[in-house]
Amino acid sequence: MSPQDPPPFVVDDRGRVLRLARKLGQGGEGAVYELEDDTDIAAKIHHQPLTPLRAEKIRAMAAMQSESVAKLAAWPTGLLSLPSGAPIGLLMPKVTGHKDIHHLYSPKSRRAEFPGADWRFLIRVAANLSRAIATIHEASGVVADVNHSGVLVGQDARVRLIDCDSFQVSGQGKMYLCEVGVPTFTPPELQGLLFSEVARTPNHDNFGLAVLVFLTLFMGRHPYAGRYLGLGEMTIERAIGESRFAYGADSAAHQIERPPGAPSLGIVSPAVAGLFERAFARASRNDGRPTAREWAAALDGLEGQLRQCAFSPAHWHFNGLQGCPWCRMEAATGVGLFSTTVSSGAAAHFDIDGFWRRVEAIEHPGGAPILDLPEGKGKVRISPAVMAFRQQRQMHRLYALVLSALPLPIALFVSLPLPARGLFLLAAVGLYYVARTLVRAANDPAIFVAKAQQDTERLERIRTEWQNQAGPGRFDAKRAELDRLRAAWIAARERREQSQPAPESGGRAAALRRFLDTFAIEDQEVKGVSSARVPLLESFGIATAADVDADRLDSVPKLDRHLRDALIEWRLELERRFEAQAGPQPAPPDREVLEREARDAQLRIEAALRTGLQDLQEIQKQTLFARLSMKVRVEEAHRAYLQSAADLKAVSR
Amino acid sequence: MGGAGDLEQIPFGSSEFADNPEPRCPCLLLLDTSESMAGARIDELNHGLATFQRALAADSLAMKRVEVGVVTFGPVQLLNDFQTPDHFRPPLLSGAGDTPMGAAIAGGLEMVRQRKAAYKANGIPYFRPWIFMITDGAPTDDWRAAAAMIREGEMTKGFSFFAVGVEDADMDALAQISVRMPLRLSGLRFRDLFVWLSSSLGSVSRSGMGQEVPLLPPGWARA
Ligand SMILES: Nc1ncnc2c1ncn2[C@@H]1O[C@H](COP(=O)(O)OP(=O)(O)OP(=O)(O)O)[C@@H](O)[C@H]1O
Repeated sequence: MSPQDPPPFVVDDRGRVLRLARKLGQGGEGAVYELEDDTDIAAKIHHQPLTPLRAEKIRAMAAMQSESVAKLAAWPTGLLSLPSGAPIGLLMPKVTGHKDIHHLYSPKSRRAEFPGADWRFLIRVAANLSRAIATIHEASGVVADVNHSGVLVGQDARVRLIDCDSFQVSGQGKMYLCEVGVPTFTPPELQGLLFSEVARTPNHDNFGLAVLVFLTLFMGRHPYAGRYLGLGEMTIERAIGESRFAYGADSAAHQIERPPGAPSLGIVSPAVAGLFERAFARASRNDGRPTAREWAAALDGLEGQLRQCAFSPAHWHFNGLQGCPWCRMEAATGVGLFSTTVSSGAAAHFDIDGFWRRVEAIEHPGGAPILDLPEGKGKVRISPAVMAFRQQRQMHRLYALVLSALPLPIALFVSLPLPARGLFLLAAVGLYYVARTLVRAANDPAIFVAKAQQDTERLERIRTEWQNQAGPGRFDAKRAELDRLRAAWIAARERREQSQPAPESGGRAAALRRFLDTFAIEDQEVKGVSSARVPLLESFGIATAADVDADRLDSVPKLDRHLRDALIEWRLELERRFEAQAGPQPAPPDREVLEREARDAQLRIEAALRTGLQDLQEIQKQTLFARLSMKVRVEEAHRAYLQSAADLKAVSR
Repeated sequence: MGGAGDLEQIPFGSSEFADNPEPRCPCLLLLDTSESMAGARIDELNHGLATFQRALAADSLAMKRVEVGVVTFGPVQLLNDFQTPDHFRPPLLSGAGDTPMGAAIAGGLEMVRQRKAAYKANGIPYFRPWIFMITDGAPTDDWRAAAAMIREGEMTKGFSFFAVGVEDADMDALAQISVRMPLRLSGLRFRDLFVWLSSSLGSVSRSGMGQEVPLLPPGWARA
């Protein structure tokens, strides 16, 4: 899994140097590549050089090719080494046109990767997988590491097993174990054991097989993934170990419930349901799980017991059921479980009402909550800076007063001529003004004014931001957009319905008929038609060119061939004249093209609706989240605003 | 069959899980978008996020299993709630504001808790969530409560919390918040970091649910 680069080239058993090309896939142990000059072969290159035992196993496997196995598994054909000689991987047949089985069983990827695959297809894949594993078992192999990425599925429902070098095989009297396993496919009796130390049995494989079959038939749900009703964490490993099959008859006793919206075990035939119960029962631990052959037979049986849903042709279900389980599930979840490959189905699939219920289920976040911001007038304590400022100004004012009062005693108490006294008084007044200017200059409250302004603006800004993010505006806008999209979808559906079987509007055909009707056989000198024959023709309802057609003519007894052909020729000639007059036939609007366009439009709207729904959900969450996270900021800004307003008031006194 | 059990009610919101019932591997990114991140740091982080999305998209199993959520701080904002990478649109971040790390962690942990509750309610198995915090500074708010929540979560295996410091981040403060040793990003190798994160999540999402996955060596970290 590490992003390290592959070696530039590798060497096979016979010393051939092979260059790696495109990477086909990536697994836990290594990556798989195409080869530069052989398109039928793939090379698996491990991240770490192989142990001698592993290399020996690959050599042994390459030596035990079997035809029946080769058809269904990418069996190793040879060992690969680095130029240094260290074994690093293996060669195997390349599987093309196949995809990992997990792409098939999750509805989401199935629609994209296996368009047209319905439940019949899924059952067939499960049956084919069972046959493949039965073949391995009958060749005395054990798959051992059964898992979701070891099975590739073709578009024809045939499967190929890959990752064969991890099979458990015996050759030349030696057993090669499998050192790995995926816990969610591991039977209870092996949970927590060291894989490199246990010999696996087909009964172990049969557990993993049952899990894979379950995933495939039950829309990607794991049989042990349910809602745990007890306390604590319930991992799948633990649930397997404690036999808590979430769909089983005694699931309640195991305090586990199948997930909401998941189908019940009843959607498969009782025979198949019985196999699941047996595969996941505690009693089957040591032996007795259904074998791969039993699975194949029961699944083939199920395939013969299917019925097509009356409402949706893409829905196939077990015929023992009253209603269609897929309709119910699609309606409840709004998820299209099966896609139809071509035409009409794709858009018909979209359940606008179900979808809209989901839109409406998203709760409107409501208006931004009124923040409890303290009015705080008068209650705010003046900040220390303002205190200091005011004290200093007080002092300065005092000094100024004292300074400007200096000439006063002279003016009042020293005996001076009157004009001189006046001069001193004037000086006192002048000094007062000078001192006041000085005091003002030295105690400029500008910073407090600026601060107050800044804080007011900041509060404004944060309040707007709060309105935008915590208010319902964004939600409402998105919701309105969804309303518009819904209307557009419904309009597109109507357009589609109208473009359905529009009967040939007789426009041009009727015009032709009227045109031909103006040419009476009687009036015309039709080459080779003697007027003597006209009454006979008229008695058979053939009077004008419009009446001339092969079928009708053939119904006239004893009409001679020449006459018949001449009449037809005449009509064709007139038709050509009509064509020449009427101009070229306008290409009839191809219904298929119209239909396709309308459908594409509808699909585009559906895509927009889906993203819109997600956006709406997101906006709702973001809005609620913003209320939590922004509250503190608004409060803080408000506090700052109150403070600087109070400060400003204090300094401007 | 087909009896009363089929009439059971199905809650809304279960559709994403019906569509894709694969086990989930949630990863929450807590990203510092304070003033000091502005410039080359945030640019590289943005590139890194785009790389992250691409790297995840190249892994078809991770595409169905990994879920990415994004919370930024400076100010604390939820940019993406948990979503599979096909729906994850990497945000374009810009740096402004302070570093309210404590609030971001508290909000993020709440998101993780809610997501886990949704998984449980819908019977979706999940891997231990990863919370990945990237910062170039020190918290400007009270982070002590957040640190306690992280200790608690790590102890009960509720999640794994990783802290990554960029350039002059306060590594001592990070070490007090995170139980795991915080790592220092070497230079601005955000892209390497996110390629690493993507492959780590890829291997976690392939592992067993309760299994400890050995971490890949973080080549982007400075000793
Ligand atoms: N023979 C093949 N032809 C084409 N593609 C293949 C072939 N073998 C493997 N692949 C691709 O490569 C991917 C990884 O292969 P494989 O599962 O064998 O690797 P691995 O490292 O053994 O993985 P793990 O052991 O984790 O399952 C597969 O998912 C598949 O897409």
